Amino acid sequence: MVRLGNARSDENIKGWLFFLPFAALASVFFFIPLIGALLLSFREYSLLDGSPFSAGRWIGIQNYVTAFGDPTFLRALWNTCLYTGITVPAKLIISLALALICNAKIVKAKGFFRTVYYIPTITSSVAISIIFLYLFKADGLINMVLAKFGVAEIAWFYDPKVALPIIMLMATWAAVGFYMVIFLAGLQSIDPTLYEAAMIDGASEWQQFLNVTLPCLKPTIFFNLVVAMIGSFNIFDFAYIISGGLGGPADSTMTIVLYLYQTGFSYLKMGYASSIAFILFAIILALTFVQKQFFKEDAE
Amino acid sequence: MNKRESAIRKNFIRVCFYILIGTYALIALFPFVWAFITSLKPTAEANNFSIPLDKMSFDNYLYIMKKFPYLRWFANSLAVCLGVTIGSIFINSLAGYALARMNFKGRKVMFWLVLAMMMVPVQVLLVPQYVILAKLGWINTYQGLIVPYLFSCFGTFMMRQFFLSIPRSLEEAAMIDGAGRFTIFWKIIFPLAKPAVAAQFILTFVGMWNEFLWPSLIAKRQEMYTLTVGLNSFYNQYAQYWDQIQAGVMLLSIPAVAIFIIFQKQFVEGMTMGAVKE
Amino acid sequence: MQRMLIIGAVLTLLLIAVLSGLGSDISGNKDIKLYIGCWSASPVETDLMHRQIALFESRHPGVKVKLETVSGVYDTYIQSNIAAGTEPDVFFLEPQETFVYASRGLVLPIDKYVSKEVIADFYPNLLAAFTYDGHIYGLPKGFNPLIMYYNKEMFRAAGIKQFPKTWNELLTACAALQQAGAAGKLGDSFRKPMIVDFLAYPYIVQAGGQVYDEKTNKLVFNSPEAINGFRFFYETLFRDKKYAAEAKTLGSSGSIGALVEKKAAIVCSGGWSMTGLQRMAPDWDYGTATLPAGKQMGGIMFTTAYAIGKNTKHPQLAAELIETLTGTESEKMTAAAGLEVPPLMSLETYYRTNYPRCAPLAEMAPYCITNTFGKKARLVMNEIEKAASTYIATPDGDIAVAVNKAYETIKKADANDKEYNW
Repeated sequence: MVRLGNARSDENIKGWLFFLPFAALASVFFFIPLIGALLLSFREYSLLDGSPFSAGRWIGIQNYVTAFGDPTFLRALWNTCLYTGITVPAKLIISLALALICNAKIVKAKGFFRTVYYIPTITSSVAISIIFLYLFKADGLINMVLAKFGVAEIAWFYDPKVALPIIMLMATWAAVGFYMVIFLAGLQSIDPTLYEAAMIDGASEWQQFLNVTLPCLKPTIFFNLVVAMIGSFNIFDFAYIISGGLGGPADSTMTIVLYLYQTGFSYLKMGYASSIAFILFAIILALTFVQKQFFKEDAE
Repeated sequence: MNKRESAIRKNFIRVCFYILIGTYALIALFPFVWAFITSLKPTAEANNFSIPLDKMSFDNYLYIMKKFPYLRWFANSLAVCLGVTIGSIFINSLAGYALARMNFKGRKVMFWLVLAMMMVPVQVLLVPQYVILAKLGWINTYQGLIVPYLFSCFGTFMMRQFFLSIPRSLEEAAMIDGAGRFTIFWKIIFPLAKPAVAAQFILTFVGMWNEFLWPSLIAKRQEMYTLTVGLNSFYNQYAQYWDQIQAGVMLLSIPAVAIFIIFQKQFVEGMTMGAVKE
Repeated sequence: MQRMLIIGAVLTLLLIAVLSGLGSDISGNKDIKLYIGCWSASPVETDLMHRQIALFESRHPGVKVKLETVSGVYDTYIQSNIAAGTEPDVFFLEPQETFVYASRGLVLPIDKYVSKEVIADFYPNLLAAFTYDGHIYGLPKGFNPLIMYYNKEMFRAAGIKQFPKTWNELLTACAALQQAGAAGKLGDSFRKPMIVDFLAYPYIVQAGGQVYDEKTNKLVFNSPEAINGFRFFYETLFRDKKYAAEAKTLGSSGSIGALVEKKAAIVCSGGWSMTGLQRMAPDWDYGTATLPAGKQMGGIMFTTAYAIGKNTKHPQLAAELIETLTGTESEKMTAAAGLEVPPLMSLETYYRTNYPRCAPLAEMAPYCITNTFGKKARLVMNEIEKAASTYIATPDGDIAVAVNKAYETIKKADANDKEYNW
């Protein structure tokens, strides 16, 4: 029989032991830099001033105040929210559909399709940007095809109205494989006896999906949702490469992290950049908290 | 609906299905295929839409592999990615299991901390992390490239979600038999996590393979470059030569694709049987 | 599965051990090691630097020099290194960074370590780009003004006798080219008479304006003269006549790619494009010319210098390294590589005689500004670019509005720091 009393503290110690490697590494390589960065957000500092842990002049919350009056930051905030609001649902829905397809009984050569769908994700963002820049240039393939349908030439990445939507397209195309792999892992750990039971009860395919698949996938969906949201809010690579680091044309592709990077490294205002990072963090934290309320979980 | 009509209907659905997934497969593949074709062409042809079969060759690939220490970079990437992937699978699984099934003080706080860690934009930590590594003397070393990645909030979160979906009955049965916590974990629960481990292996490996910002800071000298960093320096230098750039893209992506193909077969196929064995 | 993971872990550790044992290719423990932080935009450039380093090493036995070629963004690299105190002994310095680095004492005044004769041989306006508070902080390794490249065959087909020398002649030539293109005389790929990579800086100077006035520490790119320059470039060339297009919209084969592919007749680019042209169209007789002049002749040149980091343990040796890398032999190698114009006045005749096609580059030199735009040079450049791209995207009204908006944005950003006079 399991002993009481001691069992609790035994469990406590064991739990911490399991968690320890993670915690130790995180302390050194995450929390110490994080505290450094947090302190930076209250200072006026550029990297050329010396160590981020000590140099720079203390200015309190001035950086945070400046951010909310900074038109470029507000534009970046808007762009990023728009970007997240559109790409997250798109990524999740498409990746779930693909995972279901790759897992379905009807489909042969599942491995082939799985691999093909994952290839955009494996390709590095630099490579993807290069490929898309090539396809969407003014005299590129896409415009040539459109010209045959009589559509006037679009500037794509250089048109302020179109640049961000195209980046959304690119990012969704590239990211879908990632979430698909995770959904697949989730789908494949669903107990097949549940499906058998449902079929015996006379449930249709759609009903099985609603009543067996989706509920069992809840932890996976929550995971993908949180990761997708965090990833979207942190969008940097594509925006940087496509706009050459400038967030152009006319700030239409300026995302929060891109602005943070530009402010810190190009304009030498690392303190301000840190404050922007923490504002972003606060936003994401709040949103995740809200999401968690919708996905009550059995973790006891 | 009689049998014949329902058979036709089923075939119709099947065909529609295949058209759908085939179309998406084309969309997924097309840019990649085009990049491959371009990489085989000589520079003069690189920018137009022709496929001049008589002029295509693997010359660009040979050029890159001869002129740059491709093999060394490849080995570096392999070492770093394997090190990070395997190491972090262990560390993340342990931590994820603790968060999912072990009742320790402050567990809820730790979970929120792990989630919160994912939300911090990494760029802001870049320089403080660099300074710490400089103080440790780990600049331009393998440990500098690997150790900071050995813990992954994303990986831990994923393992936690996965362990949550495993029925408690298994552990309770083992505990009644007197098995210790670690034995339960190592011998019973962890093997059941094959799909999640496989997913993590693929995602971590590929993610690390493509990782650029941090390795480009840590690996300062050419012989320490990972493949992504090395090829990026190549992109900078050859910006105008589309054909060679695409060859570089291929050289970088193909190993990652290969890893995916190998592992998705090994672990993910037919793992439904392993879920619950009573 | 566990077994495979453990085996994998052991194998990985073995691999790392083997790789670490391979060591680096800088040998000898007794040698003094100097590191150079730089970037490279072409394999030709990397080769060139290696040859110049070999020259230095042959003269200084016991010293080994190693390049740290940055694969990512140079800024991130150099700033992270400075923050951590691990920056290289010598590194690239650009004009727009001079004020920023020199005012913080991050680079050493090179005029303290190098003789006056050596310094006197550099073009004065080049050295000015790296001068701060009366001291010189870097020796330029070369320079690259913007010039015009053009397709001689297309010019003949359009009936243009010589390359335009004034703004009016340029517009006339473009009109002729556009007509000839529409009539099909210039081939199927022809799209626009002119493709440009860079912004309006040359035209600002040609109109009699400036971007930044060093004496008063004021930004003056919104003066009436400067705006005339903007106007000629954006309103006339881009909007009204539509003679010009931006190179990046055509994909990163750039303006030179456009020239080679016969998409345009005139291209404005720097001397660095010559190696690209050499590779893409080896036997083609393309034309080069100085920029057409506005009210006066003007242009912009790009240059990079080698500077000494303040934490170096061997400042004198570093200075000698820089002296060799920018000395006569090295610069002859640079000229032969066709990447930049030598920064030494004593080599001007040599350069013009041996490389006649590069003559316009040398001719432009006295009229060019560099992008030393004060302590917020980066912000200035980005805001001007933003104004330009906003304007090009919505080409109505007056370019002056976009330019003034850029001016006001910079003024607001400088409100607390007061690094400029307003």
